[in-house]
Amino acid sequence: MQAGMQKKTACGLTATDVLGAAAFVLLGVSVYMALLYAPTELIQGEPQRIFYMHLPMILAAYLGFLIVFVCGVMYLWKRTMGYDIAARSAAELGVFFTTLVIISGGLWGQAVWGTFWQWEPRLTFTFILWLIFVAYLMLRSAAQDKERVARYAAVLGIIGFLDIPLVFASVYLWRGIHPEPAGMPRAIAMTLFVSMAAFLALFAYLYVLRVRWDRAKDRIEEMYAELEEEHQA
Amino acid sequence: MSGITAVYVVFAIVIASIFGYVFLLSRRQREVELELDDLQARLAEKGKGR
Repeated sequence: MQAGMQKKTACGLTATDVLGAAAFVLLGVSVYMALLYAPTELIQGEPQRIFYMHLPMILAAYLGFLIVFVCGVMYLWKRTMGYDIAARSAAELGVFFTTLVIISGGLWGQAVWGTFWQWEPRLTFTFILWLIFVAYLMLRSAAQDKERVARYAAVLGIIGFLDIPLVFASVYLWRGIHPEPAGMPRAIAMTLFVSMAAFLALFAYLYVLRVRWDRAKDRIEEMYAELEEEHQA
Repeated sequence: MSGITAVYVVFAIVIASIFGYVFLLSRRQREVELELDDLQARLAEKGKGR
């Protein structure tokens, strides 16, 4: 079967189309709730609404890096290229969401603390995480030997993932400007829940698109190799 | 930047980036599918020729 072909539902849509539509509807609902439904927070005021995008995006990024970690371990164990494709697609999504988290966090910080950036523990560990996975993507695009790249990338992905517990623990271990998590009123919790569902669906949709593209690209390489063989024969 | 302006700027950046990324992925997918179709046709042609 061709890499891009999928089974269609009764109304002519593929499962991926339905997932994408659900993700964008949920995103629309979450934006509405974040701007109009959720109450204005008493201490930070309006900028606190950035939280409804910021937190779900970092969770989506962590999910991406968790997939890189699990698939990296599985690749080193089984040496199956399928795990490598799953890992490299997840890494790109992780970097995409982490970049948005750093930008949204900076603008939030500018509005609340009067500074876009501070070398405080959580920001620094998040920046290190972003750098490691940017290096991971650069490694993937620079080298030629596929199996060696997959092996090095798996190791780098596993090391990179180990930074996430430090990001989590940093607000408890060192004093910084990031607050510790606290309880929240029902309307804020509801809005956050919808936003998290939206970003989870969005992650799943983008991941399916990204993996499908990677598989098609690998198939093209195989077909060029087949053509080359036939040409030589 | 005032509080609500920062909120709108962040939401605009996030939504535009998501749409941009989906557009990029869809375009890349279309390109590889065209290339796959072309390669399949070439392989089929070579198969017939033998």
